[in-house]
Amino acid sequence: MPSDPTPATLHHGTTLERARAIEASGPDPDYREPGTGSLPPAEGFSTVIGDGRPCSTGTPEEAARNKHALFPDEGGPAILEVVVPAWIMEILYADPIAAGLARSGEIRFEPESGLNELRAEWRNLTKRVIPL
Amino acid sequence: MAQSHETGHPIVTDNNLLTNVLGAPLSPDWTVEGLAEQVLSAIAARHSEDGEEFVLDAAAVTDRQVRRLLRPFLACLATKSADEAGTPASLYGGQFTFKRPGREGPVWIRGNFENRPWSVHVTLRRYNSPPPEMVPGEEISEADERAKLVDDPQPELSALPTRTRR
Repeated sequence: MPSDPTPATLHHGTTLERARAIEASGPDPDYREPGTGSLPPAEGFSTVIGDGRPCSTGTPEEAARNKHALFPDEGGPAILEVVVPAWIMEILYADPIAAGLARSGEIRFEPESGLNELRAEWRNLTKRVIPL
Repeated sequence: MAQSHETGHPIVTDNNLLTNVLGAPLSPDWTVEGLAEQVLSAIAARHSEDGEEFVLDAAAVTDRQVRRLLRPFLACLATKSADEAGTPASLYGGQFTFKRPGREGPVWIRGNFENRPWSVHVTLRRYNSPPPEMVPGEEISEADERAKLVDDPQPELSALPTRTRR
């Protein structure tokens, strides 16, 4: 996938409570959903380009509403919007698996595809929470 | 049509097909939709008894590529199924059914899946004719049971039909 030198505005669908927690502290690969105990954590952070393009693994609105259905006490569905600089997106696009997911519409940060860099840069990024 | 367990034939379970497809080298222009169709085509092309199962559980997967692809693969199947049925997608668990061309006519592939941080697994079953309606108490996955408990207090979720209503 050709890299774009401009920053990418990304959307992550979740519950309002989690969106605000991520906004404050960044995505947590060790995050465990309520009730999961010591079972495996999230491991990655899934988003889409926030321009309404289709995503074959589900839109952030769908993810937010589905997540709200599972966790109805977390403030309702919400979108976390974050503007990610081009240099981090280039790391993501350089990973063959992340690049293929990006061609399908999903921008997924994992340790191999820019997650550590995203977390390190998080406090400097422009972001906002949009309740649905 | 009688299912395998009704005719006395044991249900054959293949634990390797999904792992093999998801773990194979990826083409430079691969997409998750292409991968999903590749899996459905591979299952449809089998010569097998009704109800043959294809199972993949992330807990048993050690290959990093398969682990990374499993979540988006399941989300893509859920989205694709919802698109084909014209219904909202249920991304974190439920059922889906696909109809695809097989060697000797159409084949139906029914799946049960869960796609949560603590549990990522799928069971796909291949049928040579439309799969029978589910009987209450049969084939209800743990995911569906948990989803029902969550869904019932939420009126808006009556619009999430990818879980078969009984």
